[in-house]
Amino acid sequence: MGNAAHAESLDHTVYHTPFAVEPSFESWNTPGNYRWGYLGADKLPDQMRVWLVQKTDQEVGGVVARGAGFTDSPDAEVLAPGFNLGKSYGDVGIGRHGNFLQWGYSAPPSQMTEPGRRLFLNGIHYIKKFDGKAPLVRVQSSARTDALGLTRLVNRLSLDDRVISRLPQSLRDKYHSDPRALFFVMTFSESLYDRYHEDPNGLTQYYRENLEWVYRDQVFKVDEELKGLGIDSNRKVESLRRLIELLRDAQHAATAKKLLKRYTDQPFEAPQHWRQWFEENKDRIFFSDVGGYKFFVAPAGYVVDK
Amino acid sequence: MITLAGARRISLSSAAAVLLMILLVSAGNHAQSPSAPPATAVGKLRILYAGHPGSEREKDFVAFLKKHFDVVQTGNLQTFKEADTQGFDVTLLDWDTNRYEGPQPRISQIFARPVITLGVTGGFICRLGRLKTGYL
Repeated sequence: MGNAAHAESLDHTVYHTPFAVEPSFESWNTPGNYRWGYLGADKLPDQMRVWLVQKTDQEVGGVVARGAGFTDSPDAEVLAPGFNLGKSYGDVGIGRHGNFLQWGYSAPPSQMTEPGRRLFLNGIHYIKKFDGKAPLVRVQSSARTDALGLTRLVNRLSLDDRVISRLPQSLRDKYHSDPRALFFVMTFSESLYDRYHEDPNGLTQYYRENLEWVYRDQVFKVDEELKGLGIDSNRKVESLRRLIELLRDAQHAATAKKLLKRYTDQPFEAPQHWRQWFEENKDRIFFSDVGGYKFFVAPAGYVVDK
Repeated sequence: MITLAGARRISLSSAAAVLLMILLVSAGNHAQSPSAPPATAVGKLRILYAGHPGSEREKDFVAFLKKHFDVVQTGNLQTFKEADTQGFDVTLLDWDTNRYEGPQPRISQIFARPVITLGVTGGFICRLGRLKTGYL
């Protein structure tokens, strides 16, 4: 990441309190790297509106965090998407996770712009609000949209030699230690390799159509068991309620129980205990891909007004 | 120069000007964010900057912070411990290079004091703690 931020999130309180952040906007050419794994329905524009957080003579030097899945838990928010020449559109230049605010830009205050300095000061004031609010989830996995993005790059990415050397010999032999084939297999599974390794567009379409049932168990899987129950997503709180209801259905109880273990860390066995837990917490339950494709409960009073 | 949101500058001396000033300040207050603190409260936070002692970057940050906060103290990221944050409202973790060799203190998952991590080193500290703000 270099010197600029995308002109987004500007209505957030961190741009207004206590100091007014008043950037001067510029239109910059959209970096080519933004198009590699872009998943949006519309084509990216040729130019994008940005503002300078700092003025240095370097085009790189700062760091972004992965934007995919960043906001899938109520403990995290994007404060400034970072304009970057190596990662993705929407990756995070300034972001908060719990009591941590990461300022990914590189320059000290003397090289920040006036709006940059104001935002930096506001960030200090803002993070004070999160005293005692440790993150609710830790990074355990990649977001499901990463699966979709990787399908667009599957013929360009290779598994690292060190990783390959640790794979079972039988697997290496089967794929002739081909790093691209092994990347495919270790990311999407052998069965999908058989179906799609010569049809990456078909692979993209497969994940796009099944995005609501994707979860991660070593590879990106589609939850056919959940689909088989007629449940339309693995990340809706309503789906959790439905699984708990199905515990009382003799035909589907075993599958429902298995899926509740897959998508929560709760230890309950009896349906009434599941139902009681759900009713007590339903307003604070959230699902996080990044947190491990599970439902979590935010503690009462955790979410801070912004 | 940092000015508060909505603040106005005016230099008139007549009674009419005083009345005008009152009206302008009132208008300015309406434009200000409802949650913006009064000027006297803005600098009340106690700040710990834990970076590379003696570095130009430390001097740069500390000089800036001292203009805006009543209490600014420095620490060493190399020896940083969670207990160092006691007595401070916000702690900044930084290093004087944006390459990969900065210290990366391991922070426990129960640590909940307000922290700002900065630059590449900050990104690596966050990654070590498996935070979403970690360097990807």
